[in-house]
Amino acid sequence: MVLGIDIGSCYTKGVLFDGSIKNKIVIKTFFKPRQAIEEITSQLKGFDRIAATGYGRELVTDADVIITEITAFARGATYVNSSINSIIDLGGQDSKIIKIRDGKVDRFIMNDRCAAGTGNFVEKIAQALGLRLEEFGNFALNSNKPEMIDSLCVVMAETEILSLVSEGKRLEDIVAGVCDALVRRITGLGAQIGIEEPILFCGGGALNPGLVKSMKRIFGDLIIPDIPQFIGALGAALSI
Amino acid sequence: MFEDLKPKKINLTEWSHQFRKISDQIIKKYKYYGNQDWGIYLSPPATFMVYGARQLKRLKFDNSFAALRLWGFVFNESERLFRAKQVGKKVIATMGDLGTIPVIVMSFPDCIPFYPECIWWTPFFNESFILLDMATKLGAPEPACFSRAALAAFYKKAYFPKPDLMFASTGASCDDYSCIMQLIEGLGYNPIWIEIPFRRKSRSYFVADDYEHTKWGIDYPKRFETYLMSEYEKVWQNMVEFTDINNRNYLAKSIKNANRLRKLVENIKKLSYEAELAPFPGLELMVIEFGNLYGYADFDEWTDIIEMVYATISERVQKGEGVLNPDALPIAWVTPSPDPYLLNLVEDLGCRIVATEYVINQALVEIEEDIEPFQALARSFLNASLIGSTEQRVRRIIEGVEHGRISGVLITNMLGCSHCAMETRLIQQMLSKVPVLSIDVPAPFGITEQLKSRIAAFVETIRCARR
Repeated sequence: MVLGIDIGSCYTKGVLFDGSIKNKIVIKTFFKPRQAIEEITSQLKGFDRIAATGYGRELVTDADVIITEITAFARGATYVNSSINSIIDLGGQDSKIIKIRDGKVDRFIMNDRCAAGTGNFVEKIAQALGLRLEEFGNFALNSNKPEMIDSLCVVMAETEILSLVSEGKRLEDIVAGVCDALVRRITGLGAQIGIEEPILFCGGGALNPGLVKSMKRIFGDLIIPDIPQFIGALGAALSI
Repeated sequence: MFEDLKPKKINLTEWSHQFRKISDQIIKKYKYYGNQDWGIYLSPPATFMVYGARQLKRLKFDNSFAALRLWGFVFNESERLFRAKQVGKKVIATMGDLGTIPVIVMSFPDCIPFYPECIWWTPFFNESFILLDMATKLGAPEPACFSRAALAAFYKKAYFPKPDLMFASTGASCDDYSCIMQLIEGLGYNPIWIEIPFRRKSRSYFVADDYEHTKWGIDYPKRFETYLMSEYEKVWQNMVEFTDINNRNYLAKSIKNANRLRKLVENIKKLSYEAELAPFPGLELMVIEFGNLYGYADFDEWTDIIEMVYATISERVQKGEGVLNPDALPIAWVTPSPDPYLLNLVEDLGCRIVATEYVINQALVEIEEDIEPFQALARSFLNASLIGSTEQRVRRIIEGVEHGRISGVLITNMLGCSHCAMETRLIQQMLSKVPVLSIDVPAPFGITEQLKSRIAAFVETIRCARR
């Protein structure tokens, strides 16, 4: 039995794999990745090998295999659906677009320097609007006229959103506008390597119904796996 | 004599330890500027940390004696330039053309050419923002490339002596560096401006022109050659006025010297890149390639060092020895990195550099010796990566990919660099047959785990594609 562990900046994910997923768990990393790793390894029992990925992968000192998130997501996503040509992963600290050719990584691009294309963006804006993250996505679903958020910088966007609030715009439309803005950012990133369908959307962002709606509006049909947050951990487990 | 150990990359501490085994006699043997007693430059790289090169503690160096000579000489350049002034030599700044004007300058006795823009490595070697912050204050902030460090160095007057004469090339030179040179002029310096003609595929623009092509297959309108010759004549006349010497035979000799070095470097690259195991590290090979520009302000001694490097590499190739893992992945590197650590890092993560396009093609090709010297210089310059089309620039990389010699391509971009802004996307499109990673070189201290992750993922992608 293999433990695949994906230590992200916001969440640490663990998957127990033995021909299929036997168990899985996600916990907040809270800037304490070592503690998160310990918690995962103590809660998911019965493994004899470990494969690590994510920003904190090097901290898993007893890992049998360590791979980058790009390779892990590609393995996990193609395992879930072998027909895909592109993967969009929206994580807390970065977003990645991976192009797949013949089941392997062909090209990839990452946004890891600007918060405006990451899950962080959503968290910041939700915070500014006084919404819990879980509420945020559902608010967006109730919009029928998303507001236009021009700013692609998280700081500037926050200012723009606050002025929309003060203009009395509907919160639902503002939230949907935020989702659209983030997706536009991802579209720009994707244009650099050329996204091809079928596209699999994963990462924590794929759990947000508002973002999924915006993504579908831009990219058309998307494949969203049942366990979008665990694709990296699954891919790591598959690498052994 | 120091006996070379089994080739490997070593750190600063190991070099200091190894240096103790070198006798005083050997240390005194190698000197710059014609064997003057004060011209000793052999010292362990750690010495240069004293002068501020703090990043050296992070770097790994080749452990050969030839590499020790190379690094001692390169790090000694600043001292060497000040010494040159002390002993009455003339220090001539040549900026922006990257390959031709130093050959003219070297035709005049006791005239030392140097490239102030090469100081773009200093903030990285020194792990310091001093030059970059000062450049910002002087009007060249972050959106200009790292060569803006030269502006601050001119302002501070502490990194190299005040040049006795300055030539600055503009036109198809890097746009951002053209701006930097104008700001330098604004500080009260008086460069003599040289114009470099055109960038892009010229056939589409100069339809009615007569065309020639260089020995290396680059097409150009004939009038570019005539124009460049007139610009070189201008450089020559300024040098004649400055030195009161006018002997064209010296130019032919200077071309011969330049060719001697260029042939050596070409052979080093061929040997290193084609050998089964990598005989020399990529960082040293980059330093060697850039030495073609001006021999780090002492062309003769530099050529002598390069001969020793060539002998070392030849011996290693013959013995089948290398400095990297045998399974290191062959990649090409496009656009030079101002941060030397990146070259170490990429090798540590499992790559081996087997081809480069550092935007200095004009300094790498031989200058024809059987035609009129200015015409020969013009024709060699017309191979420049600075001008011509993007396709021409990366043609050799594309050939390498097609022949299966190159498994991936790494492009290092600089924020504000006009070439990067114009060309990187096009290069990526042209190289669609192999994994390509384009990264922006961050400012000192900026190499993050995310950046390392991206390079590691690039390596995994290549490995996966080769399986």
